[in-house]
Amino acid sequence: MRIQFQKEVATRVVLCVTALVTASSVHGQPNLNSPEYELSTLKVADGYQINLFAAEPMIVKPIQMQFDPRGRLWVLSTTAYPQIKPGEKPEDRLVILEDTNGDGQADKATDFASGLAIPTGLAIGDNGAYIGHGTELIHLKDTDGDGKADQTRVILGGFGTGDSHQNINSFTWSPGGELFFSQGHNIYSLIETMAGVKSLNRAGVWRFRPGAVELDSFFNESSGPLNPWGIAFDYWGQPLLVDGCCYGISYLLPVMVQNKPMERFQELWKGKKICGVDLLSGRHYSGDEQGIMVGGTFFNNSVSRWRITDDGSGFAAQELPSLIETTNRNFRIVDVKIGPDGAIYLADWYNPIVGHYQYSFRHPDRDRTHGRIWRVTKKNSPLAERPRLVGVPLQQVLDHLKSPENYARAQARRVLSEWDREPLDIGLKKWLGEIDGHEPGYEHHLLEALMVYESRDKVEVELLKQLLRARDYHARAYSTRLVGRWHSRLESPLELLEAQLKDSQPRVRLEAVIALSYIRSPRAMEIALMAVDQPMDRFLDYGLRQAVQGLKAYWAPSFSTGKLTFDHNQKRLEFLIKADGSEETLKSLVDLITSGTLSKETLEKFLSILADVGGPEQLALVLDSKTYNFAGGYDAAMHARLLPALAGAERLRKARPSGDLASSVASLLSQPDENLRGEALKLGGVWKIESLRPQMAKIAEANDVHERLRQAAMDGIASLSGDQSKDLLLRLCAGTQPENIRLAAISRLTAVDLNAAAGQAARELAASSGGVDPRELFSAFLQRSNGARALSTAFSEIPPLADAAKLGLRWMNSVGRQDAPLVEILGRAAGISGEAKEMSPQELKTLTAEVRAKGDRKRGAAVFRRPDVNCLACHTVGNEGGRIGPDLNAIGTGQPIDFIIGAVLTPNKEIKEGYMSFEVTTKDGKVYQGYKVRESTRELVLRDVLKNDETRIRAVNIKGQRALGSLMPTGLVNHLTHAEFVDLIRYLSELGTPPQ
Amino acid sequence: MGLSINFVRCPFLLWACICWLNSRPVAFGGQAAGSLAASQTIPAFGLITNDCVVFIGGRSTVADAKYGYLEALLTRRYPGKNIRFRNLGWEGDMVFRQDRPMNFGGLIENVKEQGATVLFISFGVLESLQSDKSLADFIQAYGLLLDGLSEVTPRMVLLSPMRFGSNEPPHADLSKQNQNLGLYVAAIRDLAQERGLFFVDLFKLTNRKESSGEGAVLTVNGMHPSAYGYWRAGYEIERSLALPQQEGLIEIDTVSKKYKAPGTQLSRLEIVASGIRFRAVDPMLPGPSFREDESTLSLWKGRVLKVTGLAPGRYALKVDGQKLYEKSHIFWEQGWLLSHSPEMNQAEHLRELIVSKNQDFFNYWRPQNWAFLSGDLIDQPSSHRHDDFKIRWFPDEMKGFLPLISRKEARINKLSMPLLHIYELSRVE
Repeated sequence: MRIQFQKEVATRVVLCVTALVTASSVHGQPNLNSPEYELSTLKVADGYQINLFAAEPMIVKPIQMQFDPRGRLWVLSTTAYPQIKPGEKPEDRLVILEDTNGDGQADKATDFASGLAIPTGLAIGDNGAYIGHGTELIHLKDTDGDGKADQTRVILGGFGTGDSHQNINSFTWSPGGELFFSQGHNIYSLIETMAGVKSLNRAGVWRFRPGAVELDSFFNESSGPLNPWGIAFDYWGQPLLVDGCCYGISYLLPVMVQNKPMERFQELWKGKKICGVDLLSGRHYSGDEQGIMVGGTFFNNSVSRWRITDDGSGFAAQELPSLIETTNRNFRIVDVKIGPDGAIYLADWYNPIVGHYQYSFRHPDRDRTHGRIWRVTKKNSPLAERPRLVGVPLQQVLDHLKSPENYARAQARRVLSEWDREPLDIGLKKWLGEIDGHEPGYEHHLLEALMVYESRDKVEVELLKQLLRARDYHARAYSTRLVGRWHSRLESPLELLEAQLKDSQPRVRLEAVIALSYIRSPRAMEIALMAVDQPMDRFLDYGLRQAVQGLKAYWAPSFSTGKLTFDHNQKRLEFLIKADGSEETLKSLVDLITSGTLSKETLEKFLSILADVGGPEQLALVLDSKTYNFAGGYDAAMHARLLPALAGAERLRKARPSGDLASSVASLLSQPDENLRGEALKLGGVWKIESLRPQMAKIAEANDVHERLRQAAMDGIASLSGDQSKDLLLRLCAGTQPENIRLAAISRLTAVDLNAAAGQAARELAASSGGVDPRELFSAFLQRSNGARALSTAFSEIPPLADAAKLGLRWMNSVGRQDAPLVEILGRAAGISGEAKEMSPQELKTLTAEVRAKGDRKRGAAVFRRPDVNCLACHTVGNEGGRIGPDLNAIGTGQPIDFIIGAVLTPNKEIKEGYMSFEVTTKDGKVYQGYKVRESTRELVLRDVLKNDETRIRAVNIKGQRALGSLMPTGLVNHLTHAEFVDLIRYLSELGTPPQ
Repeated sequence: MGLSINFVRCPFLLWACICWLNSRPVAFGGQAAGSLAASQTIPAFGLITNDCVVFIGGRSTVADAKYGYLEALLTRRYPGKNIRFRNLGWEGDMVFRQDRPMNFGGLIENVKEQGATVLFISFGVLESLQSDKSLADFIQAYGLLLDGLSEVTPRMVLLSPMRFGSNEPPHADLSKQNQNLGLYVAAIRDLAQERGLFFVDLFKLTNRKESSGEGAVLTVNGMHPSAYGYWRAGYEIERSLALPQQEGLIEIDTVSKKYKAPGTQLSRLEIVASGIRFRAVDPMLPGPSFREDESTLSLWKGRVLKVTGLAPGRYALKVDGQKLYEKSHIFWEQGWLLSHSPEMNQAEHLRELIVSKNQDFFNYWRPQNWAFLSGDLIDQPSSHRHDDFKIRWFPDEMKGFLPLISRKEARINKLSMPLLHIYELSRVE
């Protein structure tokens, strides 16, 4: 019996009448638990079809499944879950399903093993199966070849079972023959190995190298996903992880360091619980479907899809329309595997109850008798050819390493990892020698060979070195990882990694940082920290911070004795000290500063780090004039340069120096250096030293002192706040004052009385004839909560002149601000429309075709760089451009044309992960906009595009935050001609694609 | 009961019953024996009725429960004595720390809860790998742990770690680690001696040289006993504790009608022209044998039947009416090792029952879903009745393991008692 869809009904499943009659209806009543009924409830995405591959009694309660190199599907199932009863003899099984006639349905089922007790993880290998079995990882072997396990070996023991729905699971072979698996939040594991006791508390991932019995764990105390259930390696061997609980999809690599992180690792995407995952690949799918992630979103009774694209050193994930949806609450896909025919196989746990917490383990509705394997294929697309990998000559197996199907390559590697060593060595050498350097995918083929060597743990130096310098950065990235794995057997691993760390591609740099974390030497830390010399992103940040902590035992001793200097590079040192965050490291820094051995330049760098991270004692050192006494006398200029950092410490960390601050500041005010006095005035305000008010007021109003000093005094006054401050600042707004003083006073007034300041600002911009540069004013207002509203209210009474409005708008565009009422009122004043163009699907289709037919890449490039569009102000292409918006270097490879059109016209519709702008309001009334760089329980780091700087905001100081959307203004391209627009899109759509 | 009379006559059993109360010095542990006897008088090792023997240590202790060799060896020595065994091993346990889930209680508490009267303690292997702790730290921490445990029971046996296995790649050369481990072994021996505790040196065991299969290797992953390792260690523990081995020889001369059966109570010997017949009952079951696979079987010491003076011809041996062997008289005259016998079947059955009981105990004592049973998630619906949240079914259900375990232990106790068997060697016509 074969169940198929009627082709003309795309999204609704209609069963063959025969199937319905014979199996699912008794006296006209459908059996609501039959596979046929369930099938009838499933809505499958356009262009796909679904059929039943296997069901009970063949398979009951599947929990993980794996294909083997013969193309057979091994299904692990448990009816004893969630808890073994006293006296119960668990009969959980490992069943091998076969589709012997290739009709897409299992027609043979054999028990490989039975009598298991709540098995949760499965991997095929070494003539049998690796199984996660309670506290143990066991291997079941068929020693006599009768297809049934006859030997059980415990490989590792001591895994926690505190919560059986989080026991070790999702067994997945890495490309290099490592067994990856995960555990959940209530699991505490202690595994004894020759390298000591390996522990993993709460949720995390294990990496096991069976040959060497090497075991490592990643994450710690649930610093990432809470119940990871699914691991997949992409075409280039990059690891992705999904969470059955709360944190969607994560990129695993940045966590794969030797450390026990206490810092939360941010996911790529979240929104659904995902259990079981695989990536589409090969000839059954179209070009733009390659690499799409398919995951069992069991909680939503659906199967979901995501497009995974490169994003700096990491990835971004964007959800696509579901592959399957249903309202049938029994439909629970818990594992996803792409089969040998290219079809998507789905393990359906079939249960109305999934909650392990939320329902009694003994709830009578927990299903124990059903289970299905579904098979989803594309309509009108030929299936992948099933590779023959068993019982064929070595060369034939090797050739499958070139396959576009992940299945074929992974299984070929698996077969090769168990091949007799000598013939494999000879065969692989020969195979490598015969690859034509010009054939497509050449470097990928080489990498596959390297992965085979890796799985045999055979260090192949020449091939490794060749790939470290590959043209394709993906190949450079993966091979970099191997330098870490093999470092003890390589001649100069640190030199190799130093070169990788200077790679132009962030992914390679990230791999280098991770690899370096395995080399226990101070030099490894020195090299890894060079990563900060190039642009960082959140993945690199995280990986490097973990490396700093993981390698501490090796760098800290040399650092404290001054042997390790990190070239006195401020950025590197700052990163190190912040990432480490420990008292003893700070102490080492103070020792260096007070040693008197540092050059002035270095000393200044160190002091600024100290001001950034130090406590009261260390901050006092920065404030103290004596610190700046050198052989040539007191360096007031340096002192002045460092004082703003003390203001920052107060603002960001509520940290201020110890000692009598009033007298310290007063003594600074008696210094001749004007800059120093200016900074002292500001500090006096920041530290709220009321006794300095008269002196500040005097300077602010003095016509005979330098303007900068007057402004500093105004800063101080504004910080002290209160009516006295308001009166003084209003006096300074008067027309009798010079323009710069007036504008400066308005800016400061925003901190004291926002509406009063807005009124003054409106008068300035109306009165002026565009001569006043409104940027400083706008900046002051937009940094305050309600600042934009206050300004727009004031403008509604006194509209600004057109030119002032234009300058204001342009400035807002350039920093990505789009506060709606203000933009609208400025637009009206300037006579510009900023409406988004709405486009129907048909229009979009036509336009897409037009871009393909008529768009000109070269002309588009010119538009892209035109000052009136100014894309480069925010986006990077090649090595130029800004960092406000996403790097567009590979947009053409990652996104289809229609997506790009939509992203340009309506930026808020599709926001690239990490480019969601947030507005954070603090308790002291400031407002910050920007991207979240990272967020922890202690602080939020926002990349503030206004200042083009990272702003750290203490979590306790945050009043509220909201997502704003894209920073890209809507209507940015409205004034382009149609042809210019078409060219621009053509240009964008070809970025990252090879020149035609 | 007829059988019990035979027991009392048995010198082994008398020795066993005297047990701990007996204060005669016993030499054990090879080289240490001399110094030990000189410095302190240690009572002979023995168990008494209703003793509760508790095993503690790391992974090596945990996995012992799956094989049950040591437990079977000890159980058969005290037939009908109702000895209980509890394996409280936990992976990662060291003398420095023993991590347990929330509300599980610490090691000493656990030992007390089980009513331990005798402890087999196995530490040292993980500690020797700890780079941040020294040997002195180990000695101090072990001493403190023993102080704590001695408040539960003074009857303790300290087991040394086994040698790190070196014949498995990639641990090609572990001599350094073994050298270091040797220091820990010596320290444990000293601790035992100072405190008057039993000590068993398992470090001196070496892999079987004559065969190369897995069954010849004492450890897996370099550090944990293999099935063979547990079997081998079991007998070594017996030997070190000076528990004598059963004598397996039955020698009968059909001409003089004399017999020698030092380890068996032999009765009703009948010698006729066509063969012989007798009844035998052993004071204790044989020790478990080790089966690497279907074809190989290792025996520590088996029963040898030697019958001289037989008329030439083929003879079949039947035990309890079941034919086991058919051999020419030459074999019987030289003595034939009975690798299959009802006694051995019973011993194997006993071991299997012990393993099954251990599994039940594991599921009871260290169950899955501890977080919901007794940890921080007891307020979740999981452990409550679906139709009445006020009732927690889970703790009640777990109590259901106790009668299961007791029943199995009653069967173990019964099965530990040897039975009388009728041997018949008769000429095949």
